[in-house]
Amino acid sequence: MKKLIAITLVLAALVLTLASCGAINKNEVAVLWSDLSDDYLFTISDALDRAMYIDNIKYKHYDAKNDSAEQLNQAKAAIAAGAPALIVNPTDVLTATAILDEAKGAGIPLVFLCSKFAAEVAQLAGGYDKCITVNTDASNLYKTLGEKIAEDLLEKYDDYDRNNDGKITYTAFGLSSSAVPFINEKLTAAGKKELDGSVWTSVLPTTNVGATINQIFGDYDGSGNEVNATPTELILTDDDAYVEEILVALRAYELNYKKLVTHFIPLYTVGVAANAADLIDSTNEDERAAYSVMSAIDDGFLSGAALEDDDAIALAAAHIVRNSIKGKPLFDKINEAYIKDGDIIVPYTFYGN
Amino acid sequence: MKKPRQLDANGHRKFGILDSVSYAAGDFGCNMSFALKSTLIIFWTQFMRMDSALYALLLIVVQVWDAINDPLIGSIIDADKHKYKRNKFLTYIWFGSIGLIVGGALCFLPIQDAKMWAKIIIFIAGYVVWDAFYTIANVPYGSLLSLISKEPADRASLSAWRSVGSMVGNMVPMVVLPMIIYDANNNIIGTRVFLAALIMGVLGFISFQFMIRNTEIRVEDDVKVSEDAPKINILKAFGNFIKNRPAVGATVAAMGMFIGMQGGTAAVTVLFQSFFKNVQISGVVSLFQMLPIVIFTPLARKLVTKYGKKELAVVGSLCSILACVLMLVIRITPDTKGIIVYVICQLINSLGMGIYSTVSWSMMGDAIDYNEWKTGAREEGTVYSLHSFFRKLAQGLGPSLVLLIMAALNYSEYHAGNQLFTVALSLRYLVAALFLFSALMQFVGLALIYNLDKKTLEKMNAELDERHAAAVSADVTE
Repeated sequence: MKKLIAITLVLAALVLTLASCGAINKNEVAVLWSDLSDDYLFTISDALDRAMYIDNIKYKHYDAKNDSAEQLNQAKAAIAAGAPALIVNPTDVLTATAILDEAKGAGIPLVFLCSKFAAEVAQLAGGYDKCITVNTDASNLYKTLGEKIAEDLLEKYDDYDRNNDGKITYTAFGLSSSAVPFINEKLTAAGKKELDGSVWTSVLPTTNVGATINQIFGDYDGSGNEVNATPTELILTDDDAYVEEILVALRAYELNYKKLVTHFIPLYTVGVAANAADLIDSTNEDERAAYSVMSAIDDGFLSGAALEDDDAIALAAAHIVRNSIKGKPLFDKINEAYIKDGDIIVPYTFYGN
Repeated sequence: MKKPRQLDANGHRKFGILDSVSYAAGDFGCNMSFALKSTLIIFWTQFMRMDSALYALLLIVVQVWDAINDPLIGSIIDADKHKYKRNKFLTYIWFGSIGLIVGGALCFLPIQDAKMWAKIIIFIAGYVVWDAFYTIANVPYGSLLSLISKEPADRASLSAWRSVGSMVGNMVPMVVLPMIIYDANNNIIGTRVFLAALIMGVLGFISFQFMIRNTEIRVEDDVKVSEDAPKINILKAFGNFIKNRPAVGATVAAMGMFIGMQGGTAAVTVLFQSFFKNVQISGVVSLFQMLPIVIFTPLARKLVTKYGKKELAVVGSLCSILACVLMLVIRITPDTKGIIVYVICQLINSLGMGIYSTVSWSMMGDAIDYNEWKTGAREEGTVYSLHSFFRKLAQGLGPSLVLLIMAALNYSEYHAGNQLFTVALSLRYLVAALFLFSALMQFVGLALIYNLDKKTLEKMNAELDERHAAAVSADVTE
């Protein structure tokens, strides 16, 4: 009996000790967002939740809802409350500058995260040794995308060359044509012809994408002359916000809908967070709200997308904060390949079938 | 030159390894179908996009069928007096094995774009057909043992090999399935699940054919698959059951075990999908969890003799409670380190559960003896039936209740394998809480309700032996 009581007490002590292991920081780290209603920023905030949990950091999200003055007030309030660090997705460069001054004055580290003004903010960050920017490496976006597309094309070349003319015709919306040189490099190395953009202008405006698709396939289907009789065999877009419109337009031609190889035009984009509810036949609000370009890729309606490596970005930001709180070098345990000129640049990754 | 067939005194093939292996093939065949059951929830909610609350309700509906189809189909088989060329049980098993291919495939038809009413009909019809054919194959399979040989040693061998067949039939799909039915983004691939169901149905069919062709019927008794059920008063039977403390205790413990095991399946899958983001290793982790049971089983007999069943099972439940409390309080991070901590906790938990599961059925046997000791009547059929009924209740209600709790924690089937981290974190704690609840129920059932400790058991057995001896000599005198 005495032995049993002794064992129980030891186990209880062990359990209580383990339960009392709390966060590494007493005061919350403040995470300031420009606008959490943005699909992409919401995704990054979710990734940050995971990263901060891994690093055992106590924190709180703040949403400025695109109000610059509000964001600055949030920063000031957090610093006054003793925040050991700030992670900021700034509303604009001026606000970023003001927040940097506040953080510098308080001597606390500042991480600029996923800023739309990456270059300007990186320049700002140079003025304070505890300020780090964490962003995606925009320079490798189209290389990543292009190489992946080439891989897919080479694997299914005969299926995608719908008119069997030995080459693949493409349509590129916006800046996505920047992927073409990288695709061509791989294609020619494998003995295939370069992509053909001669029928449809290779750089098209990113508005009215649906109308453009109708124009392409409408001419192909019906009244067009010989030039317009060549359908596009590959579609690229630089923004996932256009994917839903493109796919809805393609469906009018029985394309990219029934998941048949013969009725599939490879479509690639950048980003996966945009909503694509019109692609599903559902009136359920929750289902429609949750259906994104990522879901459409999972369902096989498009081939894939280049996207920012949210987990790597979030983990890098969390590590910087953790290192600062623990008094370690700021870049400790961060992938060396991401560190460039005192900032963190994470390459794009690919999500697809 | 072919070895001559060795015959026994009755002209049947001598009992040997072929009998054991072919009998094992039968349970392997059963498990080829059963192994997919745990995939149903994720397939129907995440791939088929059925609302979780609706699925939970449908699951309860089909569990009612699950509860009644065993005695119903058992009665049909017993009532069938037709003379079959091969053997009645083997014929029913053959029929069941074909139906399992069809039923299994129906349950996993990847008709994602169908209207909801069609999905509801397909689910119910598929489950009913699958469950019915499973029973048609499984129930006579269990009774077949007594027709293969009368010898206790032969029956012990068949029983042991049945466990081997069951273990292999469980382990292989458990490890391999997650690797093939989930994509690199932790989403379930519905078409692959359908193919897996077909392939496993065919593999099961082949196993059953092997069993049927190599089974030698040596006993010609008219064995019944369903219990001889005397006319009973349900309320009275239930009243007697409640007064049987060991039966109630063992039943509460069993219910606890099933709520954790069956109820937690979906939560554990989502844990691996969205928290650890590595659902493909979930099968390997489950395999590790079986190791303590495998290691403990050969030692069970010795330890039971030394310490007693109740004592051993209570220690097992305390082991599980400790493991689950640790799982709850230790920070399990969503990375490799966290997976290792989770696996260690589950190893300890499964050791505790394993200790109980090796003695659970014999504890029910003791509960029946207890009934005879206290009241003079065994009421075997009633006690086992009510125990099985409550076990099935736990198996059925567990998954439904857990799914509703998951929905309350903002689990959304529409996010499939990419739940928000805050939701994934809640489910991580839900898994630990579920297993803890399961372990606590086992402790309550075994330590506080079940009252046959080693001393009392010895006393009971001694007194029952005396009564039986007295009854025998009274018969002889008459």
